[in-house]
Amino acid sequence: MCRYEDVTPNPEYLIKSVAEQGYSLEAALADLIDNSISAVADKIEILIKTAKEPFTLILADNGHGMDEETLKKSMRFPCTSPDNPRTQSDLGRFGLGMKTASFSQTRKFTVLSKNASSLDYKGRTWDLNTLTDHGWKLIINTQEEIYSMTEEYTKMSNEFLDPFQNFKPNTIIIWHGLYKYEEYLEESNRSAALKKEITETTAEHLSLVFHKYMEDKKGPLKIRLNNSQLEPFNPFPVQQSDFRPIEPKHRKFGPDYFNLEGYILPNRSIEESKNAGNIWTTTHRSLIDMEGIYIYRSKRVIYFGGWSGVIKKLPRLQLARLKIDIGNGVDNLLHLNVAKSKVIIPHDLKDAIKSYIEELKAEATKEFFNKGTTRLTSEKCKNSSLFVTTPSSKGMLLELNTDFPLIRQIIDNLPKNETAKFTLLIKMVNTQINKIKHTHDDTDFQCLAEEEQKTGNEQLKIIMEIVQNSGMDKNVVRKELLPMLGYDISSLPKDIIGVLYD
Amino acid sequence: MAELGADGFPPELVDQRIESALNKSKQWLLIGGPPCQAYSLVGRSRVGGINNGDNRVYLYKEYLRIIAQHQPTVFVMENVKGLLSAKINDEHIFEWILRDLRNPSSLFPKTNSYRYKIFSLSYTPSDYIDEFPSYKENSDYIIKSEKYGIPQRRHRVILLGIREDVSVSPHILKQKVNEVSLKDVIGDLPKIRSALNREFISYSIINNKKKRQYKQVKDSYKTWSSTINTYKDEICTFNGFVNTDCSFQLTTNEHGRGSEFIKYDTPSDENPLKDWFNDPRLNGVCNHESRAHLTQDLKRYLFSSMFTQKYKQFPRLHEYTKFCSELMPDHENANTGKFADRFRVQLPDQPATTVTSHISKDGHYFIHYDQAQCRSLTVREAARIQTFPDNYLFYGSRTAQFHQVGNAVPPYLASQIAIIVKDIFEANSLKTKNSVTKRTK
Repeated sequence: MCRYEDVTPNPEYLIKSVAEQGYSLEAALADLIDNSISAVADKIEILIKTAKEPFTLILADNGHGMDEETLKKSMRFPCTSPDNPRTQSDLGRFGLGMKTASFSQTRKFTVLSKNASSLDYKGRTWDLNTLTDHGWKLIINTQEEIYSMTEEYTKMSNEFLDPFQNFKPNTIIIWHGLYKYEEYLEESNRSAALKKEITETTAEHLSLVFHKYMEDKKGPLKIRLNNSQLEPFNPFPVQQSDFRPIEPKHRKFGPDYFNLEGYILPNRSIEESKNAGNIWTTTHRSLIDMEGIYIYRSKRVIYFGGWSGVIKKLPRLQLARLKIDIGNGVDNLLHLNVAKSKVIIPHDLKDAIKSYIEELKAEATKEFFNKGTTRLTSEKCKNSSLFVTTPSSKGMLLELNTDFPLIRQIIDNLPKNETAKFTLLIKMVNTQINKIKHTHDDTDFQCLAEEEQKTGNEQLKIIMEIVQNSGMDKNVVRKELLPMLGYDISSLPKDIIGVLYD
Repeated sequence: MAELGADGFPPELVDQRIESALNKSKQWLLIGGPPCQAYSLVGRSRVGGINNGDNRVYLYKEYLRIIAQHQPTVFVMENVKGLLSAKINDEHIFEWILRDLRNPSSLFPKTNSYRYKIFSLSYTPSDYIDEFPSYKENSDYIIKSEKYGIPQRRHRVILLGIREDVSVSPHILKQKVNEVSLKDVIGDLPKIRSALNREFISYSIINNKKKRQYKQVKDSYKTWSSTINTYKDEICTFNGFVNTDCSFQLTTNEHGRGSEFIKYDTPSDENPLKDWFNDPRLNGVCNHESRAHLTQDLKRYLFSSMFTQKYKQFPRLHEYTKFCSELMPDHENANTGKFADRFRVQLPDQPATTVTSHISKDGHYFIHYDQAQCRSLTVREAARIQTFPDNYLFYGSRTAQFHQVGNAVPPYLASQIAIIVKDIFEANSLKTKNSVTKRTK
């Protein structure tokens, strides 16, 4: 005979502790935005009344809204099982996000929603006081209450600057009061603290976390935060020619794959990042704040700024950034918490990442101390230096400058068939120089980045050219010339190898 | 049916009708009011006595008499916005009307009628004087229908009169967060083409009058599409259309010119008024047939819809001359500026302009934004803008159908007003009951 004791949790205490899941204001907002994106919203409006207490926060989106039944379900704690498979675009996991995120910042919140095929909202409200007095009961809002809330929303939306054109919200979330700012701060500081929080931390966080959605060419996500529409911030400005990738790696992990892509910022970013509006850092962060791992799930950044315990932060690593793309299928292996603010990388994965980070670390350190060579590439002295550096996935490569007046002269004066031989010679010199350079740098060097990019056909063409123009024996070409140019014979395609043998 | 003021329908007969309909009930609602023309002489009638000879004055007076005689619990009266600013002999007509409505027995002392509290439906009163509501501005009585989910910027004065013994303060209309755009309500209707009827050839002056010569054109999809495509190619060579996307295809012939019934799946799930329009038994759409136009007008339609697509506003008439003088309507007033917005493309992402009954005369003021259809709006499209449910059918000639659509108060707005009125009646009967029970105690 079993005896039981009723230990139903006190709803008030449970909620209060569940809400303390490490949510900051920006993380809580990002969680609400996840829901908006899952509902295919392309415009999201966040309005925060800072002038008067209680501070009200409203988030409105034009995703497909909910009918009353769906709304009721979504207000449940939790509304889906974390083990349910999710679609690629779904950003939630626990079915808790909206509720816990909201309760982490407020003691009472309302969700108003409607379908696109209707004009009238339905409303449900969670209120900690109701929980204390009546247990797990959700408030059904009356038409009058809904109206006064939509009126407040319209008023706030019109009062701030830079509104959206043709914006038709289907879901409106209202936080009645932000207790962390109302209770824990001196009265005179509250409004100012909240304003600063919004314009600095929150705006920058959202610009970074959702930058891929905001950069989408087909249907860019637009986020309005009070007086302005946010601009995306991409921590990987690949359009900069000297923002240099190191060789990417592809790792199988659980049922999914993930990509490791390391990047080295150019040395000039150290100086440039001191100016506001630079491309390397957000306005209120430094390079050191932004070094480290960036984990993307779907298109959303779920972790950034730091090495997640794999290695320590170091000033000389401020030029290193590592991008990790993971699918939705593996985030349970990554131990992501509800607030999506913390990622614990499992042991065996940590090892794989660690060895990759070592490579990245070496390149970053080199770039950090490598003030001289970067100067070489500046426009001013382009024609006057014998060697130039070009960024590549193998690191910075030294090359003879074909625009150097003396070399240029020789090329221009040579007859056509001789030019080919001469450029071949230059290529060989380039390969050898970098080989010597890399011997000193203690890394393996195979071939020039330039050739690496070329397809089999182009390679074949170049090699045929060599065989015909150099006037050398095929045997010599195979044994001496190609290795000098950085080719590994065994790695060449079969049809090319065929050409090299009689 | 009875027509007020018609011969053989004297006031006595009106009273008789009302009394038999009311059957001694004291709780009833009067909807409607005299047409706007009736007011134009109100001021004079006050100053110089009411002249029964003028039919329009008679309608106004008769309306007041019915209120005074039969004292409805509530009345709702609609009129055009111009009523607020209309002046006669420097006196605002509207002030007189408000005074008359507040105290209808001032004109008919014998009736000894209750007085009336005149409420606005869009604002709560700024003040009460002896329990009678007052407002800061007369413009507070204006209902801007686009704020209440109507896809139309129709601005009307609507007065809600409540008998003074009924001590209920009415709700006001609840503004919707989202404006409903034109595209929201007509974008999900089947695409149909316009038709050709005749072509303008030339005009000659006969007896100081312009005499225009036209050529009849036989309409078919083939001639229509080749005519429009020729215009399209021409317009694409105009100066302001250099980077315009001219690759759009004209509407296919699937639904032709449309008809009185087309089998079609509409309204769509994206239509914000779907629940309001929808009748699943219909399986289609009624009164959706395009008009035939002069070929030159079609060119103007195409030009203005392409212009609108590119510049997000419709072209004013002077812009027609700028692009091609041939586009100018051959109209005496065309150059005077009076008709600067005679050809008006309704913008897709906004509520439409007011649907009036003169939409029946020509469609120029209601050109469809979709260049591929190149036409003016159909009766069903006008009805959607006016928020008639899809199962509301229109009969008679097309002109008659457009009249029925254009003269109405938008039904979706009317239903919102009806809920407010219903609440007044319910609150009132509750109060009366309570006071009765108190008394018996």
